[in-house]
Amino acid sequence: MTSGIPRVAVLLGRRLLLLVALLAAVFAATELLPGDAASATSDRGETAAGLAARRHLLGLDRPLPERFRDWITALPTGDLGTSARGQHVTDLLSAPFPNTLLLGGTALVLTVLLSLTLGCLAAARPGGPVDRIVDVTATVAFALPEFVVSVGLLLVFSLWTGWLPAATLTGADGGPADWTMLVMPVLALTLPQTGWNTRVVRAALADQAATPHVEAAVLDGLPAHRVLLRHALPGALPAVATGFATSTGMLLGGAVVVETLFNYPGIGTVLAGAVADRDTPVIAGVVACAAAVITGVLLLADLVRARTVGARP
Amino acid sequence: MSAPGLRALPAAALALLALSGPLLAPHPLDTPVTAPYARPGDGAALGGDQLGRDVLSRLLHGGDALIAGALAVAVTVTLLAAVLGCLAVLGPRLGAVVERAADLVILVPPVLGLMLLALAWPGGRRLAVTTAAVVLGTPYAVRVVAAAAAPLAGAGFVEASVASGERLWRVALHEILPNLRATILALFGLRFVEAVYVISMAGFLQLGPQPPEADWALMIRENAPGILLNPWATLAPAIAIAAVATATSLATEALAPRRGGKVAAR
Amino acid sequence: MTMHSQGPDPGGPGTDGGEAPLVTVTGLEVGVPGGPLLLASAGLTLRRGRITVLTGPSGSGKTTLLRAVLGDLPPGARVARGDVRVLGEDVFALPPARLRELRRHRLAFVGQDPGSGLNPRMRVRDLVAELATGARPADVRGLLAECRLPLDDGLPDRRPTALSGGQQRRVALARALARTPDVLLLDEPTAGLDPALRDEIADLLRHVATHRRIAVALACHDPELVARCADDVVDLGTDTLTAPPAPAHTPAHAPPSAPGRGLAARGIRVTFAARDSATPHRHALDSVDFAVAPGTAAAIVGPSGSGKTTLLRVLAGLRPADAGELTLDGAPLPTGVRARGRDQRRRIQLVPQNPLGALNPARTIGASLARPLRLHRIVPRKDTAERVAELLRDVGLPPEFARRHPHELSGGQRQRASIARALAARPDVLLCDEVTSALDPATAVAVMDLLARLRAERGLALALVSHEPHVVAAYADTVHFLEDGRVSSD
Repeated sequence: MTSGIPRVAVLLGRRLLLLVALLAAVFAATELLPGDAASATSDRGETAAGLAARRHLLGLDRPLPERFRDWITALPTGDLGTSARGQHVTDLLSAPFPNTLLLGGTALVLTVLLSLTLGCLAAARPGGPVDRIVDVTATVAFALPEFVVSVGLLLVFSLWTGWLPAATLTGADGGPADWTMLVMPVLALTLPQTGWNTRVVRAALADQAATPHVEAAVLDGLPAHRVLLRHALPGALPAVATGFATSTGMLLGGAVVVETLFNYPGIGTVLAGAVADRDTPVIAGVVACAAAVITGVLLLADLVRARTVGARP
Repeated sequence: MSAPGLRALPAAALALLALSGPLLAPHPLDTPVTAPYARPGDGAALGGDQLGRDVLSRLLHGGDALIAGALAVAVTVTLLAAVLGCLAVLGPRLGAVVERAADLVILVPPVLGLMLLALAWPGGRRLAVTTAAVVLGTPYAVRVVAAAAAPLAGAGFVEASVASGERLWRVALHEILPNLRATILALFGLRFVEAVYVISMAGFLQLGPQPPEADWALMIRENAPGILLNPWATLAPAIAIAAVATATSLATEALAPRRGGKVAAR
Repeated sequence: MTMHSQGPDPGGPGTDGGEAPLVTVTGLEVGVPGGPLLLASAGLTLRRGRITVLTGPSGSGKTTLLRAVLGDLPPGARVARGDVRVLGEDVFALPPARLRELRRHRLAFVGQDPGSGLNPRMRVRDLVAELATGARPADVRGLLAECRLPLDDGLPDRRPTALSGGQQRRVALARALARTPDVLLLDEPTAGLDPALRDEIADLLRHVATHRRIAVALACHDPELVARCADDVVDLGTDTLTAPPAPAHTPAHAPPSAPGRGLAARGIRVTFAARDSATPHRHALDSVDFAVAPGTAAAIVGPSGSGKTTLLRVLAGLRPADAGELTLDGAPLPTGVRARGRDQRRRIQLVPQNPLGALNPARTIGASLARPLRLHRIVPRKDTAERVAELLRDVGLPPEFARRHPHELSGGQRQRASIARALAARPDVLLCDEVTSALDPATAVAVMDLLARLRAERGLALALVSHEPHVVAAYADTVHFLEDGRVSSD
């Protein structure tokens, strides 16, 4: 169909517009609030003249719109700006970022698989024992911050049973030396997000169960699993995909904390350093990266929605 | 008391305990009473932390700011969402603004947004954390209220009221809002859980409270290296956060309006 | 309830005289505990090769009866009395697995809006194959051909949203027949179809019943269809459940008032924005004229979806019109309520549709009545309670009801309270949206009598929207018949 291409373009355009709007908000937050990169590193007794020099060096004395234009046009080329210490943010992140992607990506895949399975199991018999157990477990799980889950995992798998290493050792390639070192960080990220998404899947399936065509399928005497997988689940997918997109952000944020606890060589370590140095450009760069990744996932969710809801011939 | 009310009791009791904790602490906050990472024993029921301070006393002190902050965030977000959500279903323009804001905020992982605001606002400390939690939480909460209010916007009594020339804010607050009690209660619980998450994350990242303050999340961060020596120094605050968060979450689940969908049981 | 046969006699062609009926429903009563009665002592017998038509006004329980044969009840409803036997089994006593088997292989149901009953994400081919006993492609094509669907223009590969309404019905029928059922149940299979299409569907059903030896039951209120294909007719409307109400007193036709007095609308057009560019814009209302003079009642009737409620909302100022103008006593009346003056808003009051929360469930009746008194400054604050009691008495409710919440009132009492709220503003025009639907006939008559009395006493102009012509005809001076957004008066 001819309408297919413009439709995708419209979706893409809208998401990009939102991304630019967000980047503007991020830029405004870093610029308009009192702390800037120069003053952050100058707290340790630098003179006013030194501060001005540093501002000039970092280009902070140029007009605001000009700096925003430079920053945002440089982003697509991979240039995330300059840190307060004068290093390129991109260089700071390029080594640890793949490790974080490995951690977050594994956790996302696990979250998707687990929450779809659990949500469908619960929805198969609404109000049944499985539904209730899944519901309570998910409600408990999503409330737990990742670092709390990490402490629990550390105690059980490292201290008491000694099955898994408590800290991550870095291998020659800069990544974790052994896959066992991934288990606990991944679990710490997966459990809360699975809790949240299971609830999303369950609720979306319950909404679908009330639609006329699913009621008709029940009255047609189709087996429960077929009603669930063929008739209810496809309609629930857009809501579920949005849930996963939200989780992508939560996973990236949670990774920062989990990496600190497990000594995992990801962007968490860089961010922790940036927080200590009050290095705003680094954080802004990471927010920009994260927003881009989440925009990508949301766009995928949009495409899922366009395919299933539009139901074009 | 009704069954959902009973299920909200543990959460309320825990919050009360955390808020009154400082009155019960047996030792001063910042004076070492044991060896660093001492195991539980004489005079220190949960042992000592990395500086030999009493873990139990710090535990009892470490929850009040977290709970108070989370309550403040949850109350603010819920009130904002209640008002804006009800207005949004009556005015399409405000509704569109809310939708766009929610679309924007979904792009910022809460932890990163928190870091950004806390750094761009030096000295903001807890206030910066609270502001970040409110800013990041409100658009989503407004969306929830608007979704619940949407069916009411077409109800006969609302139409009669609008046709009679009532002002929009009056229709929103007097006609629609009183019918959303279950939604608002559930939202409040969910926002409280979310606020505990954000504020404790901030504590762990040393963005809000600073050493030597007693704070559950900060205790976990500080004492994690000594988890082998005195696990309680890390475990006790972790259990405390988990207990508050899950108790609230379960209470919320009990208070929430039943979700849509036909119950197949006959 | 009456039951009679027409068409071929039992034992004639197309029936096996003496064969046991496939479905027998005896004395079935379905209701929501503490709520309305949905079906009163209904009976039904379905035999192979015969078409049984259920008739009766809306609300008489046609759909409830059809779905009861499937062992399905509306949410919250219970069987109070009677039983349903399908192929010798009591469907309400069957374990879930057996009930599912029965629905899967022996019974087939096509709902009122077959378009929404088809999964929009599946292709026609898969929709039919899913239920077919032998799912070979040739079988599917055979079924589609039997239902007179075109096979050569790619229809089997389309999704339901790309089909016309008539095609959707046929696909739903093909899907129903795919399992080679013994009993076929259809809810309003021709509603909204033009006569030619309706006759085609009727012939198709006759063909299916005769050649496949299926017992067919269909709910419908179209006499043409009944005449065309019914072997047996079951009328659910002739008992006390929904007897056409007899007005307690015939309304005196109001004296012709001065021209231009009252509420009038001219050339109203309302367009619904199309959901996607593929479908053209739809006119919900197209150059509709309406007028009601003081002391008279004007009815707006028509099938559901004809634009009745939209017209009422335009008059109330809730729905801006895309074209046309309103006048009140000859003076221009803005179409948006916000643009109307305080007095104009007071003079036109809305009595909303009953089941959809006409009264705020969170507030007492007294609070709901007091609000318009204050909003329109009808009485000083200290006299509010007294005036509320007066309003309640005017509509035949005890003043103590001011302290009750809506859920503590019966349906009829709620409707009276809703009218009292509208009267509180001392209006000149009352816009009444389906005020008698969901009320039993006796209560409906009482509510209509109340409105007729108020109209006579206070010279009110009444605009009555209803989908039950017989309810309002007796009370209205003029009737505006709406169909597909166009009006014809008589």
